Amino acid sequence: MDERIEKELISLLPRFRRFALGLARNPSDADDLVQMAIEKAVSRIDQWEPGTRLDSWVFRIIQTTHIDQIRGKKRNDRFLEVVENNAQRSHDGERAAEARSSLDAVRHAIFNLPEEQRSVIMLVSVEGLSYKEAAETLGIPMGTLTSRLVRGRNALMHMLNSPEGDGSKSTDFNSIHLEKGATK
Amino acid sequence: MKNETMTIDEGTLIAYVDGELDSETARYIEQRIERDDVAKQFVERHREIAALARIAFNDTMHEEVPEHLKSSITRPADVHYIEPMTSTNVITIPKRSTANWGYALPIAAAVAGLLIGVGGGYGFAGKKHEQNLRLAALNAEQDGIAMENALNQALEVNLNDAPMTWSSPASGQTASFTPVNTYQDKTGRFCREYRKDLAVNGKTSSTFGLACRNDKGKWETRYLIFENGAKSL
Repeated sequence: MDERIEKELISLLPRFRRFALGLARNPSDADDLVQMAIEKAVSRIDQWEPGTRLDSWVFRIIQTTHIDQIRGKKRNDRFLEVVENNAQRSHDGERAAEARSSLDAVRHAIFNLPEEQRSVIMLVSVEGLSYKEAAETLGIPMGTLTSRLVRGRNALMHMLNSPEGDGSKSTDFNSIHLEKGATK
Repeated sequence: MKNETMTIDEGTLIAYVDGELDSETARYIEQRIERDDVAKQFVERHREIAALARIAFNDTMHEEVPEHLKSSITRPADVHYIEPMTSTNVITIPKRSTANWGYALPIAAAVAGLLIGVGGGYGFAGKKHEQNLRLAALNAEQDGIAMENALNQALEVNLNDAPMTWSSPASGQTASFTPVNTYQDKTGRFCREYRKDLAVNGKTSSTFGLACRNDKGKWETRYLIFENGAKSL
């Protein structure tokens, strides 16, 4: 592999780990995910088109690897997953006030987003990709990207506004009424 | 779009927050939100959340990247060509929080010696470690057969960093064998560094070894480094 590509990949590792953490939701799974994705990326580096963003290309590999993983897991852990979610929620209620004061709350809220919204939020809001880049990275149309982004951002706002930390007492921002005449 | 009067949708406001609008539309939105408190509040709150999301994951950016991730780039698995060994590239062994990897250094030096044919000395090691270390050849017959098989299996099938565990039904002694690095020597044989963790009666010890695979699929340990105080096998 070209030494420059090698160097660039190494310098991007912190961002790969950050994105993977957003998807996998715990640091050790995140590093496993990065490891797997990097191995794939390195083995098929000839498929990357020079001139395009290397980070987006690897983000995509991380994301598809992650999706493959959860598909595999779901078959086995479906029941367990439901139980865990319930336990988490009541626990949150108890320490919502404490958690809200820190960035943990934000991370936690992002972790609670559905898979498809989470990957969009991670790419756009955390990694700073443009809508177009994020849509290309995820292989989805722009319209799908923006609708996931709006739903994800609103869900985050609800979670972070609500005293329960789960959005149940949030303000409804779903409709904003403005004067006539604006264009998109 | 349930209401006729709703002309700026959330998507546009969020796109405004994300800097995704062309400058003309952005200016228009700016004028509008000056006159609309609901929209203004919406934009401000989303701005805040976008900023929080960015900094909420900042810790990861400042953490040290685990060595094994770096080496999966610089030394990918499953390649037939393996870089010539030098004292600098041999030493990049994944860090283990549970073990003192000062001990890994002599292994690396031993590997380097082995591969470049300078001999098996470990003079490369820092002097301060020397007194605590013993480099010994392993006589395979002296090992328990079961442990030997577990080790062989670990080296044969496990990926780097994946432990193979074994426990004695009789004594309760447990052992875990973890390959940590893989090389190919000059003659094309595969050699692996591994870590062996033993637990007997609540006492644990770690050993680091280097084994090479012979033609018959048997992994022959060539060097062992015992942690301070551990007994020779």
